Amino acid sequence: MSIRQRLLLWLLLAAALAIAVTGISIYYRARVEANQLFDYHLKQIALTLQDHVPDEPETVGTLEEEIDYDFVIQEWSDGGEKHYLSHPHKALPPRTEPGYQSVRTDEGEWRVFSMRQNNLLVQVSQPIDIRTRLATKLALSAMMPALFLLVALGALIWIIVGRGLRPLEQLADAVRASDANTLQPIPPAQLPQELKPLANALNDLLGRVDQAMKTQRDFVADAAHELRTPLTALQLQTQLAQRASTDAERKLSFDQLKEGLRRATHLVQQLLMLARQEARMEKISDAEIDLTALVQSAIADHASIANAKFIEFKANASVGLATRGDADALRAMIANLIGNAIQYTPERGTVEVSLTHQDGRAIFDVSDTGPGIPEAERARVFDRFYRLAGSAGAGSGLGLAIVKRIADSHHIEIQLSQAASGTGLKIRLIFPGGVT
Amino acid sequence: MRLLLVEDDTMIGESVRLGLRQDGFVVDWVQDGKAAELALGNEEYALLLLDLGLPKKDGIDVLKSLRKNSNAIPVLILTARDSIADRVQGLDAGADDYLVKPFDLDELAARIRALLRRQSGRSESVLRCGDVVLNPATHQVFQGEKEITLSAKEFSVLYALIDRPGAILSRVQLEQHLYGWNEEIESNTIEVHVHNLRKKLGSDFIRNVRGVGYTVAKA
Repeated sequence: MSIRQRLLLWLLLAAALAIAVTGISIYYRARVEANQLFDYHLKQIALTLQDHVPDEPETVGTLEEEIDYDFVIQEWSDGGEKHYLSHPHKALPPRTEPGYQSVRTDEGEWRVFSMRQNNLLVQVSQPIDIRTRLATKLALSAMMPALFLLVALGALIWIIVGRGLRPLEQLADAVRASDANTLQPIPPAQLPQELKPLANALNDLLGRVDQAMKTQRDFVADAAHELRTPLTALQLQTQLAQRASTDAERKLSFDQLKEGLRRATHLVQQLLMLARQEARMEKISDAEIDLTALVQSAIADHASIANAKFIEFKANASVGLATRGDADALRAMIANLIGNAIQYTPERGTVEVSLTHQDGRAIFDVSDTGPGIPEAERARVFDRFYRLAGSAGAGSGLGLAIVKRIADSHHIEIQLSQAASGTGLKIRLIFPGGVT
Repeated sequence: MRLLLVEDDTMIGESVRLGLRQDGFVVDWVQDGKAAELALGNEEYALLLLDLGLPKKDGIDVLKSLRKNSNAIPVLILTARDSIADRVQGLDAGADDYLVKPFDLDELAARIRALLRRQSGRSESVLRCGDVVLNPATHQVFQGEKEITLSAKEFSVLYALIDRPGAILSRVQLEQHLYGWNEEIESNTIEVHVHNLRKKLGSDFIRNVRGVGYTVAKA
């Protein structure tokens, strides 16, 4: 049901209710008045019969209105014998004690007034029905014009509500006009006050969607650009392999081609990982994770790679540390950090990994004896595709961006510093909790 | 022909250098903008292959300062930036050609030859001097109808001389055409190559200007 229909329905119902209440109150007021008036009448009629000669009953209530009002007069002798009856009824009230009384007969309720006169009991009575009918008639006649007005009111409500809702249609038009690529904010200036919060909320949403789309577009543009580099290398290496004339040349070319493929694959994997992390920013899973086991398995995974480069790999993970979050993401974060440290450490260098805790918070440290990161560049290394000068081609430029995204979504603090051993890099992750 | 390649990606740099060497070019390779400027100041190159996204100094900036110093060296941009705006910016900054990654080695070599041809004011794709015809694309040399078989180094010496007929090229200049960095220069090697060329093309084709260098006659 539209707002317009709903408003029409409820407003009309309210108006009808108001009219009904008015009618009912008029009815009751009229009943009270009628009762007072007719009770007085009953008494007056009884009094006029004072001079009545019992033996010669007279016709009373010859007045037209008195016939309409159906006053019935009965007289009884002291002996209880009915002496006079003005006109017959199906079920008349019986003889009553002097004064006003209400009496129920088969015909309904009666209002009765009796008084003693000479040797007779004079009773004047009237069916209550008469009074009810009169009050109803009065109430209905008062309500009639209001009921006619209700129809006019309905038409008026329909038109006014329609006009009142026009800004809503304008707002809808404005939203419809804003296409997905330009996402123009809606100008709230001409809108009525009630719609401004809606327009502002919409603009806020549009702004966030616009920002998200811009981020996405930038990401795609960056990704397209970055993918060209390994693809170029692959194409060139393929061509060189084709051109090779000796087995030795061919072997060398294929070795390089394989390395190129490995790099391209790594970049694609990292891109997908980052895209997934950016997409799930808002809704990470919140499972209980055994941080100690996670770090231990990452250490085990990297031991052979470190070994191949004759790197001294010192690892130490305190037991019993846990955190909450997404296991895959946290595993990727730890693996990226250890992998980076090993990659940038020259042969026969040292990589140290440790998981400890301090003030109830788990702390993960990786330090290496690689080239490190100059202090001026430390803030920028988390940007995606940012590479230190001279390290082109070594990595995807995404590892630390992925680490940062995951850390942010898990409220993990990252600190970069110079490794105690010398020039290398030390990365510290401070978890929001960890000691159970 | 000696070229300078500026490319920060190790894999691409190695492959381009190797591929172009197979095409008979001598390629010096640097990985950042500053090193490129240093190399350009120290050596004479026939052509510059320039990546745009470079560490230390952006490729466009290298190109602009090059042109500002009235260096007319042919410049071929090799880049992953493929938008029209980027191409326009690159060409307007003074590049002679623009090749988007990923590219084909053969196309790259062909474009280099085209730029070198234009640079020396030729319209033909082959170089002629007297009855000797040198084809840089196929590495073939003809004297009249007869094909002359030359070694790669001999071809390079002949190419350098025929490219600028009438000009006298010193031994050092010819060596520069033949050897990139990190390549050991054998002593007397130019003399040996010239000797062989004379044997194959006739003793008066290459003239020795005593104490200065070698030249071929302007046709």
